[in-house]
Amino acid sequence: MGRTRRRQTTLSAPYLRRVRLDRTLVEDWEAYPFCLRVQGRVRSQLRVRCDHAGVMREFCDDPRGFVEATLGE
Amino acid sequence: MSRKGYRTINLPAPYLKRVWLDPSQVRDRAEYPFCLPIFADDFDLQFEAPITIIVGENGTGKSTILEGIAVLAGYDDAGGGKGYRPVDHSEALEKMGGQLSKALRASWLPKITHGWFFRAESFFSVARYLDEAARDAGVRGPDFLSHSHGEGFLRFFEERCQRQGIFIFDEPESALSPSRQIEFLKLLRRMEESRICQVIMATHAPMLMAYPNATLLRLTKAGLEPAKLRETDHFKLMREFCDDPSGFIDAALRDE
Repeated sequence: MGRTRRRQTTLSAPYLRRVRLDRTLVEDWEAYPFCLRVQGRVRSQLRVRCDHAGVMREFCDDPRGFVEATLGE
Repeated sequence: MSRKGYRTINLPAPYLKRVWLDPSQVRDRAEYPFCLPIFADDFDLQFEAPITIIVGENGTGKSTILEGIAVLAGYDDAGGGKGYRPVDHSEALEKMGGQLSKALRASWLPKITHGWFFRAESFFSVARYLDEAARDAGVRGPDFLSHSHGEGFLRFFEERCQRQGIFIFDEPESALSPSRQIEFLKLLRRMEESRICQVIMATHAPMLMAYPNATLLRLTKAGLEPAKLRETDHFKLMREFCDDPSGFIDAALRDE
């Protein structure tokens, strides 16, 4: 549009390569969000994925039974 | 029930029995929201169960219907409880729920004005409004924002949604993982068992649609019709995906 000086780079994504926590900048490990127990990138991603997929598959196989069992707990 | 002037009425939900459109109050059928197919013929919605769930594609008018009902119940169409004004409407071009509510008629037994209109999209504003109101009153605010979105949502539901009232939920699942949706189902069960809560909810989450004893209605261009979970597009798609996630995604992306 009217903007100048905006050039598209020829490099391909991903552009953000890494995000990490600088432990020296955390004042309070008890406060949210630092109290969250994220134990490591790979393990945490895998756990979340398995959890969601498992619940969804169980539900799809037998929605009524799944919900009744859930509510009966 | 410690609030002054609040008494539990000894009648079971549902309290809102029927909502219908009064054609004489519609000035222009070509204008939104009256141009929506759902309002083309007589719009008449009856509530027979304490929990009513509305499903449908985006753009069919689910949220607009909920906004209209919320305004009828005395809530702001941006969300909140009776008397709350969490969002500044001064810059808004129009308020859909407000417009629709002027043309809606309702039958109640009895008229209930307690409860809540929950919209995921305005939850942040409502939560901040609650904190500011508490601060102004010199008390500690509920602080729903010092959590992850999902945890904040759930804590909010647990704290605000178990008194007598009419509760309108617009896509409550939006910040809830499948496991948290199970928690939400349990909350719905407690609300139903209390017999003093009426819930009207729009959702895209098959797991929430599966709530037993609820009236499930599908909103299409042809109008509102009773539906079974397995007949909904949402469930069919989710089922297909669960059967073969990679194949499903590959096929979906090839279709583009």
